[in-house]
Amino acid sequence: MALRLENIKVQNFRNHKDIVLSFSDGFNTIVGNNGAGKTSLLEAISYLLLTKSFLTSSEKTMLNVEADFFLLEAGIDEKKVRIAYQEGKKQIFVNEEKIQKLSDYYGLFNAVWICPNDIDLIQGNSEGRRKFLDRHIAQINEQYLMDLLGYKKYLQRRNAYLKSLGNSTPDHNLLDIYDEKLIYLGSKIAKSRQVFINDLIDSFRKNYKKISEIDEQVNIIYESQALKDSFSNNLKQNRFSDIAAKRTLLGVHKDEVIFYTLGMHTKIQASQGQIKNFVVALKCAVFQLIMKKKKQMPILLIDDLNDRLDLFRLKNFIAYLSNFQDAQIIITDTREETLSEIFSSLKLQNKLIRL
Amino acid sequence: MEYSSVAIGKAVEGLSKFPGIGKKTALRMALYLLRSEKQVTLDLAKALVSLVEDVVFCERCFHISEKKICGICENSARDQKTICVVKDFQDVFAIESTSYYKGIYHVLNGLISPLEGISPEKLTVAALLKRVEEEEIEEVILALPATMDGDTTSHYLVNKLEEARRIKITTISRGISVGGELDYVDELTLARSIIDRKNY
Ligand SMILES: [Zn+2]
Repeated sequence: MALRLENIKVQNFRNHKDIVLSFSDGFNTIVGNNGAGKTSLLEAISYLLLTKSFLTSSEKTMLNVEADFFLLEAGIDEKKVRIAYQEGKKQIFVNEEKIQKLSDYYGLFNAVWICPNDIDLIQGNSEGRRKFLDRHIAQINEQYLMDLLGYKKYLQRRNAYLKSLGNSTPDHNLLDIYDEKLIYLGSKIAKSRQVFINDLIDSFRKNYKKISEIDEQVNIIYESQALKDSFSNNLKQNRFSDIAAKRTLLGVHKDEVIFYTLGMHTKIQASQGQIKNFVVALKCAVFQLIMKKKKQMPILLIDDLNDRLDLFRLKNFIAYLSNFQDAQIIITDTREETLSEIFSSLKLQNKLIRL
Repeated sequence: MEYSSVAIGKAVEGLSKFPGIGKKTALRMALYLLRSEKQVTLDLAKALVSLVEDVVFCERCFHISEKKICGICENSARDQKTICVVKDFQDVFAIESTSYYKGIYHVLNGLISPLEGISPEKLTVAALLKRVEEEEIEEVILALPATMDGDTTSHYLVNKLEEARRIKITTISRGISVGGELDYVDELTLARSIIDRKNY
């Protein structure tokens, strides 16, 4: 079963005042000049499916400058979804029924985006890599989001307590309780993250070979203090450093994911081309993993394909995507003619949406 | 806003300090009091003065009281060997309204909550431990909200109590409601959860 976005209605979202579009199965390509709002339409779709944008975490930036609300509506898998944002609050309705908890909505519809920002996964800081893990693990593992939220809340409390101490004597009984929770939830989170990387690695390597058309060795290593048997002791031994630093220095909030190309750090040694291939192969692997675990084909959103690959690789890549059977794939690009030629030479159906 | 009367302005200022009361509602309340029979408003004013001057906190259990020791603590018909630990005195009212509980109380005056700057020493934890050591207490019932801070506080108290002395520690059933505060639970559910309390 492939998840299917049937249509959307977008109101006051970035530069779109009011626009209605419908989509078909398989490939959909949104074309238009720069500034026509292709990316923001894809962003609206991403927000509808995941309540997340690939550009920002702030709804305020998504709001049209002249409006005080935005409204997104969609038909997804014969369900009617509506997300309204006003005065800093968002409300989600599925078939006119209000969703009470965001965690009840997240994971209902799955999608993976591939966008120019993805290179930050490699070039940016470790927080972005942890967010990548969290976003996708939560799509396939419901308990994960609960554990993660619990961990964050306990961590917040432990840090607030450490900060409040000043020169007063710490209450070790209280810190023991927070530590116990952080150890329990942290090791659950670390295990899920390790399993996710393990599940991903084979198809990631296959994808990389296909997309780059070079057989070079790539690897992903997940590092967490919480995976060590000594973690609970380490956290206790580190307590005085934590008190001095006024925050918790060990735990899954410090996890790191390291990417390797040809045995060296991708971040430092790889070329721009290699980095782009790396992240596209990684995102496709996530897509395949969700498909496998959820037994439902997610929607693939690709922003600015132009930026991703040169013409030669583009044809290969589209041919490769067509292997994702009946998946719905929504692409934005500026090159209408080039794309049309590629699709017809590959004998693939593509719905062209001109902005 | 101008009220064309300093007295009304002051009353609105004071009334709008209530949680959930805005300036508009405060003005309506002030005008209502002004239009009421004079004696009604004067009685209310007297009650408010008496509230701050006459109400004190029980030295033993920290429930509100008019004397050093409250009526519940003083009542020899009540089971003086069972202490029910609650977050604040509203919880005492909630449990008392069920009239199922015959023991005494200990009011913590909050929960351990570093985000609100409440550390254990800001609560009446030390006084509770002293009571358990000095009085002939046999059972401590923890009746704290089923929230993250409520759970942390219960956990903290259990560790401290076990350190102090071997006594029976129980907790009211957790199923009351997620994140539920005691005074929002209906009386029957609350009464049942106290009767059905479990060992911690
Ligand atoms: Zn008392």
